[in-house]
Amino acid sequence: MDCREGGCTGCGVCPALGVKNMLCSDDPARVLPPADITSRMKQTPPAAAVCRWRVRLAVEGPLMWLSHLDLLSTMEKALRRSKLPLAFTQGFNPHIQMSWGPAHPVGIYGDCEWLDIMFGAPITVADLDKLQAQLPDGMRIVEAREVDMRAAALMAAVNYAEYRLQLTDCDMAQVAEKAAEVMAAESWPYTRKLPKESKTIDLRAPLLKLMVEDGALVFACRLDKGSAPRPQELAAVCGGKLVKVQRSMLAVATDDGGITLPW
Amino acid sequence: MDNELLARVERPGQYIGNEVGAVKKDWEAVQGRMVFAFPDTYEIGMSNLGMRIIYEAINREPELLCERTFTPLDDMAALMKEKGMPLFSWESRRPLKDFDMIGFTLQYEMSYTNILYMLELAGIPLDRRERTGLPLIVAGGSCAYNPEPLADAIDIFIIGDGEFIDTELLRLVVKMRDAGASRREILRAAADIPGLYVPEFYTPQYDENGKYSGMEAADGVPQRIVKRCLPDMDDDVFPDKQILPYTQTVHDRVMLEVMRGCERGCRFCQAGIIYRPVREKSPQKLMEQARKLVDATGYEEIGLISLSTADYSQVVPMMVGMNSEFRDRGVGVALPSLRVDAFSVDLASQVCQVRKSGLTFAPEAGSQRMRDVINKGVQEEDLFAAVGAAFSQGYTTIKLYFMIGLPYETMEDIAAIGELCKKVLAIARRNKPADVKKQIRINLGVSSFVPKCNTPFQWFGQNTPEQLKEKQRYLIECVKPLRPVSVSFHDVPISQLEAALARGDRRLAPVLKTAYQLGCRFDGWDEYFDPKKWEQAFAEHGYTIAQFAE
Repeated sequence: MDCREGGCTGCGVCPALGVKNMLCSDDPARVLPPADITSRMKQTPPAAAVCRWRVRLAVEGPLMWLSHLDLLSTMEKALRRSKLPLAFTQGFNPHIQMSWGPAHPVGIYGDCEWLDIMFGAPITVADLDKLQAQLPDGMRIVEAREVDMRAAALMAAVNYAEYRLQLTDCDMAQVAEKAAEVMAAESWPYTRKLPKESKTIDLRAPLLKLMVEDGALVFACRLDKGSAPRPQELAAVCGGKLVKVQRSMLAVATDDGGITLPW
Repeated sequence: MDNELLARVERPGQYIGNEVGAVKKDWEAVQGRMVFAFPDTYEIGMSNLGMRIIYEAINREPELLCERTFTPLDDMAALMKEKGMPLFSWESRRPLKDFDMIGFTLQYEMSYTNILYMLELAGIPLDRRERTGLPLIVAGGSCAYNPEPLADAIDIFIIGDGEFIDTELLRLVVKMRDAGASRREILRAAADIPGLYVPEFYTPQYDENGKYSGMEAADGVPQRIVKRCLPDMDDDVFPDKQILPYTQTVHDRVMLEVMRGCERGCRFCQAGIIYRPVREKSPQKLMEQARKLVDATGYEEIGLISLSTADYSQVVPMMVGMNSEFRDRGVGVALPSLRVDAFSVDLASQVCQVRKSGLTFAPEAGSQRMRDVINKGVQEEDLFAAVGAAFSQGYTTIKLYFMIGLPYETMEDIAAIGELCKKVLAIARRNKPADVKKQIRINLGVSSFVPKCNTPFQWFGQNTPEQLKEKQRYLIECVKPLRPVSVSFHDVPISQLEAALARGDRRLAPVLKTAYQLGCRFDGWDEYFDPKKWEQAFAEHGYTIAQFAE
């Protein structure tokens, strides 16, 4: 029993502070009419997807320090604030329908990240300005196009990445030499340290390009031919210390060497 | 500077600041500057409602500024030391020393060493008697009700609701600073503001056995500190825009304070006493704030925050209103903790409108006798009705909180927790709809009783660690036959230290400093907490932890 129902228990708080319990039920102006629970139980099911927009996104400035999950939840919140007609997954726990291309690694900036957003009603490209207005500085929609609802998922389609690494504490001529050596080799075994174990991977197999270009170490690789090399790994192999990493492109490569954006 | 450091630390996103909703004021254009310091990591601190309220209250004033700082993790702290970079604020990235006031929040006794850690990282003397000029180090929050273990580290304690007093104090500091007042003069003036406790002007007295016997106040300062209290919650300074952390935080949702205070009077509960009286916000105001917050944040869940939201007198109609407004936007309403006797089928149907976040009930004790002892006015039938309601609405997992080591507890009371679980399980099975496939799970969270100041149980010593461990073992035996029931316990040595600090007097101030110097920090984290170092710190001053806890 407490003092709201059972009368004062003499704890002394009210007289000492000159305040009182303040319950909405004591003030007619603060009482809500009894709710009709049953009639409100009829829920409209969350909107299902009717169209799909593919977004090319730039991640820049301090936001490059966010993890993929952080970017995802930042995007979700911005989508909700935008009040665009979102589509939700159907089921017990509806979630915004959105799917991303390759994950964004912490500490990398670039303007060619990809995601698909489903909407529950048709929208125009101009409507996406509302989304841009809600995105924080450092997340920028570069371009967006409507794609077929049945288009291949980004994770399946995007299989090619290009990076530009700025290095320090090294002689770029030597870096270029080492890069050429790696490219000339049949394979380049490398021990990748994972949190619990180490495993040996072949850095060479997925590589399509590794060279010095405009003072930066540039590499291009396939994402679907074994473990893709990581920037810090190639920097280490070529004898430089990483200062800044740009992922300059995520795209679709065909086996005949063609490279296109996943539109 | 930043990029070089950020490249070398775990989860750098927590340090970048500049979040949506963060305030960036022109440093030179304001007169008074405070940094709100949370003595734990960013991820934990950003879930703190008090910080958001005070941040808003101060930043609402054009001539004042409030920024934030948190405890950096070890990797970051090591790099900062290596570069000679002092602890900074997340907004302007200025050293803490540049501010007029540093305001720590005291949420939990186990964060005390982090306060010393942050002061040291900021290059500020750990002992207030060695400080000169500004900034003043202030602290408020629930642990400020027993400020004494921190009385050497903190210049001013704020007792009670903080929304207006921080602003008042900062204004005073600015005015006196500009008039050329000394640090001591400012402190003396602060001691006259109701709700402020300035340890410099109070000297603890001890009897012939060295036991604390009372406090002597200096001439003219109030003998008794009366807490600050906001009489009407509709006058709060709730932020319409909340800072949106980029990284995952503990409570990643809209935090909407529904009411302050709880009149239940559970005898172990400190919050139930110190936040009295109950002050409910009007449902109209709540609806308006919810609307603004959902629009401004984009969160998918509104957490209705209070000590006991199910007790809010308008809870069902208000939740119906919020659900009907926000459901189509995919926004759900969550009640973080639920009183079993106030939980009804109506409420259950509302809580799970959009998504089924977990349900937590706190019967606290297994036997009726024990629940009567602690004045938890809950009957077994209340719990059964609540569990029945939850499972019939499609919930499959619930969490039950219990406490062991309570005053007058016997082993039968521990066995009663097991009995209660057995009955709850039977009810869950009976009420689970046939079409729900998911397995039933009942998770028990079992903590050890920690006597807290200002509660009726404050003089009940804690069980010894051996007794608590024995009770834990026995409880495991009791629930072992119940397959869907799992138990997790609070760490016993942590609870023991918590008890010592919660009840300790000023003799613990030097102990705290020694513990910090021995390397204690992040004591609330199992992977950091080192009971041996704490034992050593107590011993170096001639005490034991047990002496204060039991």
